[in-house]
Amino acid sequence: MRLPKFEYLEAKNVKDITSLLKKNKEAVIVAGGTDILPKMKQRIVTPKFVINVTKIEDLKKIEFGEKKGLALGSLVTLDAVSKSKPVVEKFTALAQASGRVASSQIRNMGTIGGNISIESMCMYYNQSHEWRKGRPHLCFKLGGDRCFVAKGSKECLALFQADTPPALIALGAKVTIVDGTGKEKVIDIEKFYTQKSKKVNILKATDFVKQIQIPTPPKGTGSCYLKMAQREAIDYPVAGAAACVTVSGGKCKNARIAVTAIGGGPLRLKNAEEILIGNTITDELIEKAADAAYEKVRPMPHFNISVWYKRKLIRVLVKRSIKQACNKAV
Amino acid sequence: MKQLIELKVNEESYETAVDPHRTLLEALRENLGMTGSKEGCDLGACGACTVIIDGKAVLACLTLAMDAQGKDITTIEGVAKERKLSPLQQNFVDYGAIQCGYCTPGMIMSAKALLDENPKPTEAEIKRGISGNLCRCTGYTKIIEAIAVRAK
Repeated sequence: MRLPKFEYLEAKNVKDITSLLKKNKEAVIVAGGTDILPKMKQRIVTPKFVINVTKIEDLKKIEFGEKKGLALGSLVTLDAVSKSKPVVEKFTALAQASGRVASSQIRNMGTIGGNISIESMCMYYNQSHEWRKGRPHLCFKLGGDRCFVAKGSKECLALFQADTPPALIALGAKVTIVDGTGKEKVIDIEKFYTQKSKKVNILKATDFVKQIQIPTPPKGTGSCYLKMAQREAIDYPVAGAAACVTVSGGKCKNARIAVTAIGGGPLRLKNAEEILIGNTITDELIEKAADAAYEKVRPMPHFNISVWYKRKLIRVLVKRSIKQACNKAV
Repeated sequence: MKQLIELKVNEESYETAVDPHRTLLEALRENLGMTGSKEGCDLGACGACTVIIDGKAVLACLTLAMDAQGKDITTIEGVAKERKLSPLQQNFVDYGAIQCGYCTPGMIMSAKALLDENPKPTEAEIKRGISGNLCRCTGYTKIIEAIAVRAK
């Protein structure tokens, strides 16, 4: 499949992105290109302008300081994130999540900013133009009036499947967004997501992600991301769970748990966290927290994966990720 | 409108005119006539188009030709030196790691990138290193053996 025709623009610095996005309506940003270019080949997106941002070295930095925490430029590749020493040591869940995205080639290209901004996907929408044309009706995402995932649904039910967002939620990350006027805004990564499949994040056409910051976890914190996919590589998760636990004297001081691939966004499981916080960590307690996760998630059937299977899988993944996070919490 | 770009492929400079919506794979195959890198799925799922840019294995089908300017590109054509197969390629031949051959250029490039970074990979690391390349003849065992020999 050929790419559709577009006008090619290059941003030299961060200010350039804003001015180019403002001047040229119907423009998209291409960084790694591993998500947007296939979509353009399938004619899901047919932009008039493409803004290449890969020349901006400022956004490719990984900075870490004990006090300042971790700052990841949005153009840091997933490969670099997964192999960076401070990330592996202090932000294990993020290293694991970015190391499990797709394949080594895609991790070498794809960026962390791109991964958190991935749209929801569905087997009826993410197809070639010719394939989609075979259906007489359009789905919600294409401006139509129905959802093919679930007949009779009043909204889009495509699945959000990115790996790094649950890890970032568990680690308490913040995202710096630059809006159309060039103003920067720092928000909790949880608030970055709308939980609506039709448009999973709050980015407007002239916004872009500049940086991701994570505070240094306190002593006795461990984190873990676990992903179950049908294939070891080049696959989105059937489900993924991330946990970040702070333990002191056998007691859980703080816990953050989030899961992915269960709906229109990464979901934080506060009810499971509450069970852990303030209590002595035992196998039974972890089991209870996993049960709470099982109660909370309401996934849709997806390909050959039933709701029943996915909920049970979430229970297992949450349980194991809490256990592994506790083991690392030293 | 076509634009003139300069690509540095296998340590040689090539000047060519491409439309901005052309991928590096199309530029390599159609403009420069280097048909070694293959087009498989063209969506980033098969790894047949793998080339090495600045030391990292990447997918040429998802790289814009315009974006590849000024970077060091190595394709399968640049692996053999002076009409002699590289030791890695020779191992692929010796161990029967080639069946239909369509995935082979991509496999070699992924394996080369892996071995350049980690000269002694374990079997698990080899599997992970080539996990982005599909072989629909399913001849993975032989491919892994051929790469493992280099690690010895």
